[in-house]
Amino acid sequence: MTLALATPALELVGLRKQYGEHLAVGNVSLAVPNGSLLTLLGPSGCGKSTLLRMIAGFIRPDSGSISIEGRDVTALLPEHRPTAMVFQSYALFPHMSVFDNVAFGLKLRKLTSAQLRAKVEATLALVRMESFAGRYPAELSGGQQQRVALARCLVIEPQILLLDEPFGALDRHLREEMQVELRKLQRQLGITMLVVTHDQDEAFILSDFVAVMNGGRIEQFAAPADLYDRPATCFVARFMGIPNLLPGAVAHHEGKLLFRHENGECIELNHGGGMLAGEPAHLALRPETLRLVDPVSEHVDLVGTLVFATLIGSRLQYEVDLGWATVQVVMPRADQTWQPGEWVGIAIDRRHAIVLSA
Amino acid sequence: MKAGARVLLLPAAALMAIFFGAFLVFAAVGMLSCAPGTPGYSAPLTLGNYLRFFSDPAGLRILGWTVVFSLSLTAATIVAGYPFAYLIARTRWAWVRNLLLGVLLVTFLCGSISRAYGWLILLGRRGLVNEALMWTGLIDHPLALIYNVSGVFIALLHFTLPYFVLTVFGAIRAVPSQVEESARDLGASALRVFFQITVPLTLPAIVGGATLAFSLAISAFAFPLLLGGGRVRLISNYIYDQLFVAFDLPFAAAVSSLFLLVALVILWGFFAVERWATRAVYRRAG
Repeated sequence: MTLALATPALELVGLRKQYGEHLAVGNVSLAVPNGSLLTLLGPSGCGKSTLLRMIAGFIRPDSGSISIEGRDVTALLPEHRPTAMVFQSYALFPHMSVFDNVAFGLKLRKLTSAQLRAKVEATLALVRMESFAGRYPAELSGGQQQRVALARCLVIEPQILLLDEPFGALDRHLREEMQVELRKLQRQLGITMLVVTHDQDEAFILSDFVAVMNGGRIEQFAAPADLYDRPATCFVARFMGIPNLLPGAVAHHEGKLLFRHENGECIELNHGGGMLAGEPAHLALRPETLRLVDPVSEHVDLVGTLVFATLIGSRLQYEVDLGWATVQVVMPRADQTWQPGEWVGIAIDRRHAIVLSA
Repeated sequence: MKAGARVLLLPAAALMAIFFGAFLVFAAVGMLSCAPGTPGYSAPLTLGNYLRFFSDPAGLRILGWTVVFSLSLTAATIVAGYPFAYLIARTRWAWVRNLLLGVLLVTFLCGSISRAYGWLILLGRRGLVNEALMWTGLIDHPLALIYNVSGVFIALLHFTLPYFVLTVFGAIRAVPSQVEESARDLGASALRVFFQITVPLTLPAIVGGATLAFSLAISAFAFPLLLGGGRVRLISNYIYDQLFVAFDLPFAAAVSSLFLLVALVILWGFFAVERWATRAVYRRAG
């Protein structure tokens, strides 16, 4: 793979934007390999949309630079950047037909009318909207409008396609369908895409890489699987749906790596995330990697009172009160059933226990 | 519409009938004759007054001139008012928007007569405008800005502008900024976005505002009277003269009726354009 050596499709260096006291984007640097799909994932107000709008050229950064295919575009106006953006509201031109909407960006280029027609029709066919060319935006469903918005961008062959919460306005069924479709289209065309979303599942379905953002900064940049298996911070762990974050500290004892939780007891670990002894830390535990066991068995890592059990399909979700923290455990329903009020033990699968800096 | 629903229209129709009845009285009085030597009028019924207007080149010229003048003023209102409305709608600073809206609203607090006198002071030989132009060295001698067409035009433009701006400003605000942004994003310059996206999307409001401006301009009376210096006479001034100088009430009524007819035909044209624009922009929308 020459991926790392090639010029990245998009490179951000030290981007920063501040509104009064509020830091919208703080010192963001990242590189997006050509032909890949990067998702900016984070809660609302984390700066992901601001970052996207900076790349499109609608917001001027206070400092830092944006390069596309090695060319610095920081000072360019939106119309001069090789980017195209699909807006959350689609922002179709209501007074133009589907055909004219798609042709809009092309009309600024020197094409014969036959070339223009051919390109527009080919792009509409790509998003399966060829039979709607004569319609107006108001006559289309949400999903159809989105396809037109996508076609309008694809037709001008941008070097980077930006999508701002592209599926936010669609119902769940259609959303899932469009996500898969976008991913196929991206693979087929090999176009570099940047998607902003607050939906973790969406990020996982779409992305080659995910940048998790919080408070205007990138918390972690990783492939989806790495993000899931090895979140780098408590914020990312929580965002990845890990409800169990036990406070404590890392300790070393006789060559063994230990996690000393608040109660003073220690849990032996396989790896410690490169942390020094005595450093405050959190232990992140996925509910699915925990098992309820007999409190007096030798596998017990934690003990507590089972306070609640909820049925979720084929599995049961237990809530255990440790006295100093609450832990969620998810197990198949077929296993031994435990009753609320019982004193139970919890066994940790060490391969999946993650130590995070506090 | 069902018969029952039509009944509900009756009160409104009765109210409107009072206003239209007044116009009918005009049309009827126009068919009477002037009683010589008195300000009164009497039978028999005749179409003579109407025919007289059509055979009077001076009257016809004033009517034609009034229409041309009003249409030019409407065009000027659009050209000057749209950028102004755009600025108010799209400015990033709320205080700029509030200040400009405030300035517009303040003009409504001031009557036509006092405003006309204000313009006399501002535009006179030794007025603020001429003094400023002389001071900057742009001109050597004061410009004749009052007692001619330019004075009437300036004052009337100032009068019609707020109506147009307030009508259009709301429509511009209603165009989502994302629609303009997406056009920029697809490679269109700011100017191109303005003419291909913003202006077409606000076309119904532009025609609506222009209709208002035209109605105000064509019925102007005080501004040409006070600022025209007797040289600028619009049709209302002509009618006024028939009434209070020639004391020919039936002829004045006849000219009024004809004038109303001409104004209605032109307004009908404006409304037709507005309907067409609305259909073109919001085609089958909603």
